[in-house]
Amino acid sequence: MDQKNIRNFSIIAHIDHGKSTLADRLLELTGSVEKRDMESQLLDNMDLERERGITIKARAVRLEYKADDGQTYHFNLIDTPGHVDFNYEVSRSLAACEGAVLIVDASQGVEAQTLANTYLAIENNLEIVPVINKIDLPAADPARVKQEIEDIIGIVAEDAPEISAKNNINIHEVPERIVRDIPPPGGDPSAPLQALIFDSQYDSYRGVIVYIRVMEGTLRTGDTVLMMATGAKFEVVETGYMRALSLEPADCLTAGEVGYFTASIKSLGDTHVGDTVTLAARPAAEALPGYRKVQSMVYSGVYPADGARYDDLHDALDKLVLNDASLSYEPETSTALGFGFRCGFLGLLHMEIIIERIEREFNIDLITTAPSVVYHVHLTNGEEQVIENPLKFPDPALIDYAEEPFVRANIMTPTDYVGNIMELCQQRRGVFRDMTYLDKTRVEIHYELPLNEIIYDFFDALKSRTRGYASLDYEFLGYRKSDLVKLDIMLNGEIVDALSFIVFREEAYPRARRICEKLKENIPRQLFEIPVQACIGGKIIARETVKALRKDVLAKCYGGDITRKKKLLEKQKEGKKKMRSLGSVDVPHEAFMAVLKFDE
Amino acid sequence: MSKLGIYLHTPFCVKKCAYCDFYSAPGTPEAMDAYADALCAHIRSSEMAGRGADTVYFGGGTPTVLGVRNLVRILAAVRETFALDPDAEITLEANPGDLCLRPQDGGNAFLPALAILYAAGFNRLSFGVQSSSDAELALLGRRHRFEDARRAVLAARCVGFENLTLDLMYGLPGQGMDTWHKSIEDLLALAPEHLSCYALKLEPGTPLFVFFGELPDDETCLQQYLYAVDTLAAAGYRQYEISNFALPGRASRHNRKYWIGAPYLGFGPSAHSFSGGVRWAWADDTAAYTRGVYREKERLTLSVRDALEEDIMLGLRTTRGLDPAVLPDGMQADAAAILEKYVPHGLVRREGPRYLLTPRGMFVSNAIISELFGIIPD
Repeated sequence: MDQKNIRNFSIIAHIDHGKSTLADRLLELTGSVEKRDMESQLLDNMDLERERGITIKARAVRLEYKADDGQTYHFNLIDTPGHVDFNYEVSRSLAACEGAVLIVDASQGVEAQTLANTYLAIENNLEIVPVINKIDLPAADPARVKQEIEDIIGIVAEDAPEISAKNNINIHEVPERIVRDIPPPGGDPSAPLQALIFDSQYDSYRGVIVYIRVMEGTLRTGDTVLMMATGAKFEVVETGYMRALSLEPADCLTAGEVGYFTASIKSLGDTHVGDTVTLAARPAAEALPGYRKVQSMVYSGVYPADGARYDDLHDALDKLVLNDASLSYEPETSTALGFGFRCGFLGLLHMEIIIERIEREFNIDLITTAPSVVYHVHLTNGEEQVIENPLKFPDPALIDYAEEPFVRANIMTPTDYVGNIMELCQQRRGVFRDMTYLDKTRVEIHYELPLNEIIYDFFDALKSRTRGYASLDYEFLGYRKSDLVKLDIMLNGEIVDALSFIVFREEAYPRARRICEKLKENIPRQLFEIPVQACIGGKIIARETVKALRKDVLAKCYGGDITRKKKLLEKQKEGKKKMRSLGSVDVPHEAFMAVLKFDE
Repeated sequence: MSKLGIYLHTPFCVKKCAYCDFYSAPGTPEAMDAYADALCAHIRSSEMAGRGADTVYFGGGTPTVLGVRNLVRILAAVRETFALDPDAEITLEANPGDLCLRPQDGGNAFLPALAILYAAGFNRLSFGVQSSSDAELALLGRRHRFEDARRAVLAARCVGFENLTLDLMYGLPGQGMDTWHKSIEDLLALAPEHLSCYALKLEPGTPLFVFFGELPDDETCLQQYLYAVDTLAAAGYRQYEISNFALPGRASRHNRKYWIGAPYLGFGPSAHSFSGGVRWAWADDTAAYTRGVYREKERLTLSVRDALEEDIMLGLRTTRGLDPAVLPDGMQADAAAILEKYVPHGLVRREGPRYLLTPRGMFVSNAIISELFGIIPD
């Protein structure tokens, strides 16, 4: 295909603004998918994605579009994840494109997340094609939204198509705009190969399927390729294009094209997103810019609820990591929970998704410990320790100082809620940076916040203080000195290691109190009183008591109906099985999660 | 071969009590006569005809609504079919308010009805007195007042009954310690040989369940229970099961069969039976039963596990207790550890090799028993 008839683009949108629906419409419009194969929001092909209505992993698809000018174009639609946890993947997907379709909800306007991704797109020199969606909603105000796009993003939006992806209104204008406004790719097919990996996927038959955008040169079946960051070499078994429902082999991929290759690669560890693929025989002088190794931002202990299923959990993680190189794990042991794994995640959403997938796809009930960020602890002897597990937090006497990660948070909100948001950020140790009026009614606020304050429930708190109107995006800033302590929780006088966490000293007291209260609510009464205590070092700073159960008896056993009574006891036994015995205390799974959520 | 207990169910009540979810419904006199016919026929057709029996228990529902004539002929059918011991315990549950002859049986006098039953061989009466407070009785939807109960007991004594058991309920809405103390005192004044004390349990679907929000809290129920245990002990009643108290030698022989795994046969819809390691029950369908269709609703052959669970449950609910040595080798240490754990908390006590629940322990027996179920290997 001639380069001038190729359009590589992605779609940028806030959750719920209609990205997947528009993608579905484009698939239909280009005849890429027969109606009967159409599942709603086809591009999101994990069940979980479809349920949550968000895209977890980037996907790409090639569409053939016959434009009004009579020519046929190849559209490579590269879908991007829509959550801050996956910022890096988004940036690499965007780097594979020349343009981006920006979808804005005609009633909601521009959101922080949209803006963050649009900035990323502009940074990657992408041509932005704004589209106003959901114009059939009663609250739609396309004129205001267009003005907002012009004011905030600084691109012309005056003649942006006004569509309804859901009800198929004006959809045709979108591909025409893509043809007209997004430039075709460049690149020299005869230059040394430079191909950008923007995604990869593990297939049990073919090994890793690597999704690439060829920037320069040509990749052929049979070539030996070199991954420039990892140094790994592979012989290419197959190259081709991604179609909506299958992979379509082709002899080669040339500069400007988007496609895949397989090379009997056993592990995603060899195909880092952002890495440059070149030919071993004739390597490119330098790698494409922008590569970085993915780093886990949040760590949590993950344990099987039923200790006997440790091996199953191990298998599950082995399988998941094949398809998700950003997940890391290593074995860990807890006195309270037995054998499990310390897992590293990109963020809390990523963590929730992985946990849910293990529970759902592998049918293993899990207990997770409080998510923790990575702390840097400098010891008095000059040594520096990287702490991703609260249990490894050193003795306070040995600590010179500790550091915690900070992020820059961008919050967009209607002006009415500025006060609420500032109060929240202040509570979470935020440092105010600046505030910009986007228009008369909306502002963008910048705060520097400890990442730790964001990972628990910041987003929920933000939503509840702004009736859901504020949106959040954040980026990593660096490590800063902080006064940190380790908080331990004791049940019936014994420390439950799985409940320990690291906290800013001044927050230790209120948080200790709330955790004790939460545990008291969530631990069912047992046959004797159970003290619930929180302590720092040996010092108890909060205490609650789970009162003893007094009455648990079925007095009447009528007419010899032993079976009925026994069934009730059986049921009770089953309920008990769902709890973890910590020392002499039975703790239900929910208690572990409940202590992580702090309602205001 | 151990002797049978015979249970005869009456699925009729004049009116359902506000807390009851057992199987019963109102019936016409004709329906009751037809039901008694079917019950007698069922008894006579028993596969275990000819076996020895030493207890008979008429429960319900309200057996006395069948009328004296029906009760007498049902007992006769039992005697005909099974080899009933001369000193068999023959219990009749009776509503204190309506022990009388039906007009068609020839009268409306209280004394003759009891006299006829006594003459027919009934020797133990169980009165559902429940409370000595008429307000509480009204709340429970009982049709009698306490005065009716008192008179019924006196009448039973006059006729010659030497073995009476009275039911009492605690944990009632609005019931304070004061009315509970008074109920116990009033019932003790009637000098029964046996007492059963039940905590009110709100069963879904019953009027009380729908109507009342405010029940005494668990701590109050426990205090009521402990008061009963202490007071009855002081009056010479020995607790032999969670809810049952008796003067020496007066523990219910029939109910004991349930606790020790002895065989019993039940007749009537929803009646349960146990024999030869098998539990079964008849379907809750009075109409079909009356037509002579005796359909089973469940049949369970006890597995090793079931049997073990029953040993644990029935042992700990009674003063028999549990000797870990009767459990399989692999369980003994775990069982002892669980029970031992509760000794310092005053829920379990040790008597030689056996562990027994204390009254406090009995009040949380479900938790302790189900914990023990948890260590039975799969």
